[in-house]
Amino acid sequence: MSLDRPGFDCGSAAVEITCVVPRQGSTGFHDLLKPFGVGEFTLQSARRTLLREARRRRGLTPLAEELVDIVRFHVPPGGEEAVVPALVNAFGFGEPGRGSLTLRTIFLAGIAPGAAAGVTAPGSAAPGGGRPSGETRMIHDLACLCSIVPRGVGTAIARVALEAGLGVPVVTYGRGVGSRGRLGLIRVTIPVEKEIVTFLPSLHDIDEAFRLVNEVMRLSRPGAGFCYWYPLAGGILDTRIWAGRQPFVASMEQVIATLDVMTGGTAWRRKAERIENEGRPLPMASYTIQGNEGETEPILRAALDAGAGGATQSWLRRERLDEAENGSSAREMSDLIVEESTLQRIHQSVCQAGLLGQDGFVEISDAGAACGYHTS
Amino acid sequence: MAFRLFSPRSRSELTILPLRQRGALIGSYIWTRLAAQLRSAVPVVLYLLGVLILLLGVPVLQAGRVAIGVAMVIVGLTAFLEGLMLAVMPIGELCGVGLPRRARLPGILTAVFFLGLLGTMAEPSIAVLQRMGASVMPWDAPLLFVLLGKHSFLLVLAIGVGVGIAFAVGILRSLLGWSLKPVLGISVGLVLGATLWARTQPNLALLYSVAWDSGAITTSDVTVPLMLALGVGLSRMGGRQDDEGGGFGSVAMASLVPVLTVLILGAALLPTVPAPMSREEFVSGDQAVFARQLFRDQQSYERWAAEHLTPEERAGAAVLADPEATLRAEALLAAEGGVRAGEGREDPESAWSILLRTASEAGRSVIPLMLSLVAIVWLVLRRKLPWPDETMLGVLFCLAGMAVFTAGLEIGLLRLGDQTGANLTSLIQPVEHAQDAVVISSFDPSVVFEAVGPDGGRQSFFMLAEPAGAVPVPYVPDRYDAESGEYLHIPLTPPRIPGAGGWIALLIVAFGLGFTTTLVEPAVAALGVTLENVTVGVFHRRRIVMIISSGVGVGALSGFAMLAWDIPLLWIIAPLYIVILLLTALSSELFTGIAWDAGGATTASITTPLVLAVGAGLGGRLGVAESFGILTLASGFPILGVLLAGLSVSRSRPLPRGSAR
Repeated sequence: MSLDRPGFDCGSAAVEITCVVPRQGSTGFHDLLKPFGVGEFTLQSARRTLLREARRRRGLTPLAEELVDIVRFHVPPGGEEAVVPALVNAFGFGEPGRGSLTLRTIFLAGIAPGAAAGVTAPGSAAPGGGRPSGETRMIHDLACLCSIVPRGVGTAIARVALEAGLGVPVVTYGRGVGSRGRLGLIRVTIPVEKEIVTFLPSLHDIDEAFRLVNEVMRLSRPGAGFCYWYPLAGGILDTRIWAGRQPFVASMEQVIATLDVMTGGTAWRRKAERIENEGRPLPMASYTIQGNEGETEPILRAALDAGAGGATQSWLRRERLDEAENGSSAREMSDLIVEESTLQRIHQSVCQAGLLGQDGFVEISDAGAACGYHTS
Repeated sequence: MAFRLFSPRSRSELTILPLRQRGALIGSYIWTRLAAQLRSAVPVVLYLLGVLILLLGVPVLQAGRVAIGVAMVIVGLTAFLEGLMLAVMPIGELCGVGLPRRARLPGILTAVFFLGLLGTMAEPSIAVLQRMGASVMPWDAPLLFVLLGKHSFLLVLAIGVGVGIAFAVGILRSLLGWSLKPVLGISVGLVLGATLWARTQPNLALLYSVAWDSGAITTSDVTVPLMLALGVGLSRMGGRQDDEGGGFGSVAMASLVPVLTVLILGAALLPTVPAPMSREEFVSGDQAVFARQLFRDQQSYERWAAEHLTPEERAGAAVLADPEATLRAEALLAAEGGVRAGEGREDPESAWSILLRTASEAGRSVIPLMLSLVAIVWLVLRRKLPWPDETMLGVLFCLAGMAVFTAGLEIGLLRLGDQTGANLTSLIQPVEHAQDAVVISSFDPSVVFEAVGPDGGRQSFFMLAEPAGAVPVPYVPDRYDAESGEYLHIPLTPPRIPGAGGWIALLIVAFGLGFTTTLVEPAVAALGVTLENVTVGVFHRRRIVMIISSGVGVGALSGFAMLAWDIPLLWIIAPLYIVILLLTALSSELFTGIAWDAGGATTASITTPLVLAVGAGLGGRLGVAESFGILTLASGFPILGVLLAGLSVSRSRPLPRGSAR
């Protein structure tokens, strides 16, 4: 997808940095990001799932679940080169259990300059900054696979991801928005609560991971949910897959991560000769609307009326770093996966509905195939 | 690939589903929720039936009525919980997120204060306090007698003001990002200090138990979920980034502050009431003027005197010296007594009239709160309700559910509780069977012998000839009428479990009662759902409900032990709360909030009447005057349980290094 196409005005390319850190670990972000000129970041509660060293029950390895925070913020392209080493230095990304860090190239629309997203040049005197990026264990051929399933099903997907060695899954809560709202009062009979499971397989494994999730969850059934993926510009993985006592000085995941860094990517461990999606343009786009909680409903409705099939809403907490008094801490984020052909129409509709006049913005990025129940 | 691509669908204004599909959706919706409630309610019913039939060997009276009541409880709870999820909690959260944007701090605090006050004033369970105090005599505790009778409105107002202040402080804490621990520490310190002072005042000595119970009782099925949702919404808008309390804590404060406001009210009224006195002093002419002041009017004084005083005592009291007044009161009482006796024999109150009454109570409890919330959304937040039809449906579910389940409680579950309580002492004491009494004519006292026990004590007995042979029977001199020569023999069965085993069984029954009833408590379910949402499923609702239920079980056990061995409440709550405070200091902010809120949420519409019914039955048989304090313990031990669970989680899974290196 080209980010410079006509119709996508009032925005610019940016890099979204997403950190998954243990609960209470997010307290240091405020002081760390401020010198870089980052205007704000958002926090989202999540849980990560690990395999647990304990006796198997009914043939299944027990799981351990821990509270984590997802921290998201934006920097201008190139800004990540200064911010990421500082983050790695401060939070220990790459060490087992410290969490993960990912970079995604996006088109960011609707940001008031220097206020909302902090897309400004990084400062030079950042604490912990200036570390060579080669030490950051960044891998560049990663993808993020998202599965949106009914509440209570997420653990099953998390188990599949863990047992297949596809990474540490992170689960957040959300709410499905879409055709349910058009059903009248009978909509109350359809559960609206969703779980959003994300994990970070390598690009070479994405088709396999996608197929695996679909087969396990049988996503072609109505109401079973859907999944999609998008490529990442880079990422540092959490190598702690097992909770409990570790019998060796380093886990297999640590060894693999080290080999990834040494070989410059994950290609050395790919199983297939050819990658299905290599070189092909991705057919879908991820369209994310973020605004103050309770204020994005007309915007979302405009997007749905313009052809979006549905959305998944989740809730964030915004932390302002720029001393701005205005703006709400309670934010909501609606993720829409739309076809490339409808993207421009949806965006125009959203802009007309007044997103740019409010304290909100849109993130647009490429997305891989989305699968789910097909109704039309 | 085997799967199809997700593609956007064309949209129309309203999609009408085929009738069959709608039927399937509604069927699945009802069954899923009903099944969840069945899983919670069936253990309570089976437990009570098991205790009654298997342990106590008593048949279930009016089994059909009990079955209908149980079915009503299950259906009503299902509807009520769905109503909470559809209407009360979403609007509460909406207000929590919206209020800080639209209103200044004093405005928010005022709104929250009146929500707490209104919710408590409309709360039907305040009548529970009066029921518990029915056995309080004016000469023993004049102040308590006045507060439960003549000045009951002031008592309700004091509790309401306490809840309102508690909610306001809880919200203030959430908005300003204060840690919950110092707020709790100061509150508990003040409450314990006031309690210790109250113990030194003869007139407040009984009131302090009521004060502690009032906080536990008055956080209702509607206000607890509402405050949890409001707290969660507010915590997203204010507070600190590292505040992981998630908006918990307001309900906890609502269990503590009313203790203080009730004791303050008691202290303020102290000069207006006489000091406790003996029964003889009370009925003497000297105290007649003071005695009259304890009643609302002369008529209520006369009615009370006719019911509780002997004719000689009434004659001694100058105010009641008017023989006409005495006759009038006696006639009124006799008429009421006749009605009551008739009720006891036949159908006490028809299920329909109970349902009408509970519907009116549900309306009083739900409608003012919901109207206040909607007014806040419209007038303060200046927004429309997101889904008005869904909210209306939720309010209807709440109203119908609350009416049906409270009616079902009265019709079914409470009867099981009453029967269990009345027969529970048979585990530890011999039981007299008055209905099988036999009059032995021409009884000859010379057949009475004496036996000597190991301690040298003597016991009289005689041998009664029965078809199976002669059996020794204890001789009670009062039952022998020397003039007619008749002896009234009342058969006696020994304790079902003799020795220490009976006491252990009694305490196990108490634990089971507290445990199983809390499993169905809607306020606890709401707390579980909120916690699951805040922790993204790390703490499953079932897990926290089990921990809280175990705590209530231990609390009920302690309460029954307190009744059985006549242990002063302060001896239990003072060390309990000291331990709780120590553990609070060691716990995380999240678990502190959850634990203290759990204490407020536990004793609501199901646990309160059931535990009290059994406790009062037991207390009555054991000769204990009143059963205050059981609820305080039933709401204190869950705090301890959740704090211990939280600490064990932290120990087994140490939190990774906190902030940046």
